[in-house]
Amino acid sequence: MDLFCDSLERWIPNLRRYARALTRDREQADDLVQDCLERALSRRHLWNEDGNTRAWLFTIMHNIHANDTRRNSNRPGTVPIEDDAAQPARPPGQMLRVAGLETAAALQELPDEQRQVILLVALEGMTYGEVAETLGVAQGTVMSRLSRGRERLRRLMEDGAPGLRIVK
Amino acid sequence: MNGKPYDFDESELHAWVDGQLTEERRAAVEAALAADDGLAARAAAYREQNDEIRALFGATALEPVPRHLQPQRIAARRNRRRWLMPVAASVIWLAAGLAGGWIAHDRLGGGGATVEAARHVASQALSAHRVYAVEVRHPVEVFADEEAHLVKWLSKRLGHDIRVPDLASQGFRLVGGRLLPTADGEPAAQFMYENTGGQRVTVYVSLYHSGQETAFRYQAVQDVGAFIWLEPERGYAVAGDIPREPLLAVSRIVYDTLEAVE
Repeated sequence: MDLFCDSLERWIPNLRRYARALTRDREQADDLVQDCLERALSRRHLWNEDGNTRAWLFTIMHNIHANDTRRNSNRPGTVPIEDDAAQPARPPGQMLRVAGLETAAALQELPDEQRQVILLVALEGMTYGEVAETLGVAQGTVMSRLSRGRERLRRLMEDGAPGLRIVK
Repeated sequence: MNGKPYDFDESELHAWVDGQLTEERRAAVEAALAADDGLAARAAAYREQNDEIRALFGATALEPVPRHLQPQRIAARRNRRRWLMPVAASVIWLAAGLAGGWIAHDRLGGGGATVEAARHVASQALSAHRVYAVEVRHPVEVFADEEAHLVKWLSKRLGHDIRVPDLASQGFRLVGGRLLPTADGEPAAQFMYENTGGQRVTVYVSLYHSGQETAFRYQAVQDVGAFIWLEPERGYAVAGDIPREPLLAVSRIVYDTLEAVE
């Protein structure tokens, strides 16, 4: 067997899990993973046996995902709004907490860059340093995205995620 | 703590949530959490976010990886695609000027076993072509006018859906197909095509456990040439008494059609 293919194979479950969380669509997620593997195979010469293969693969997947998102961004209304204050106020109402679903819906409300950091930490258990390496940003940036993202998520959950609030 | 409310920064709160703090700093953060309900609620909410995210998506990592995502398979597909590029192909033909020779060109490093497995499939596909392509009255068991039945029958016998490649763009129309035995006692399907000049090509699909996945290979015996490729459980060949370039064009369509079904 081939060492390179083996080391790719090892991370496929992780790539699929993360892709699923990013896209929330099984088919789309596996397409993303496949594109990622294709590109990794075409860049075999850049692979470093002693390097961090996981970070390398996740970086490739992020770049593809970012391109896909950009390509699809000609739809109106998909521009993320960073500022909490700019969010429309949500009318009060009683919430039915459906474990997880609410979190999933709230996650979708976050800008991509915050969601990515939260997912890499929660799902992958990456250290902040690895997240920074994967995303190609400074660790301070990772921390501020994590902090803003988690706080935003918490408020969304308190107010009730859109579409899941049930008014009795 | 010298009167300061907390002697740690926001980053350390997250590091605590994520279990990324040193022992020493953890004690400091936990002291602050114990003294501040609001802070403790925030930390608890963040931990819950992590738990819910893992509960939501964690199971995906436990699912079996679909075959089409296995790196070896993707690599093999890439190799074939590269082979199908006409420019690359013509370069390789120059390099492989040895008549009827194997182009032992396998980047997957399967080595001798792969060559043997492909040769095994090739010899059977070439034999079947030689025997049936010359038949005038009984070239096939089921003619193209019963294509639906033919497909259903052969799909059933081979245990997977087979789609009949459309080779009209290369000037070949379907004559029909037949069931064949392989040397290993497994079923194989042969589809025969004919152009207006009466030249015939056959597409051969057999159940054959090689465990190998190969790029395209070419073998010719006398006037009949064949492109062969292997999947772990199947062997494929496209054989014909036509020059290599048009046979390659035909093989490309066959490959795309059969691959699409998987």
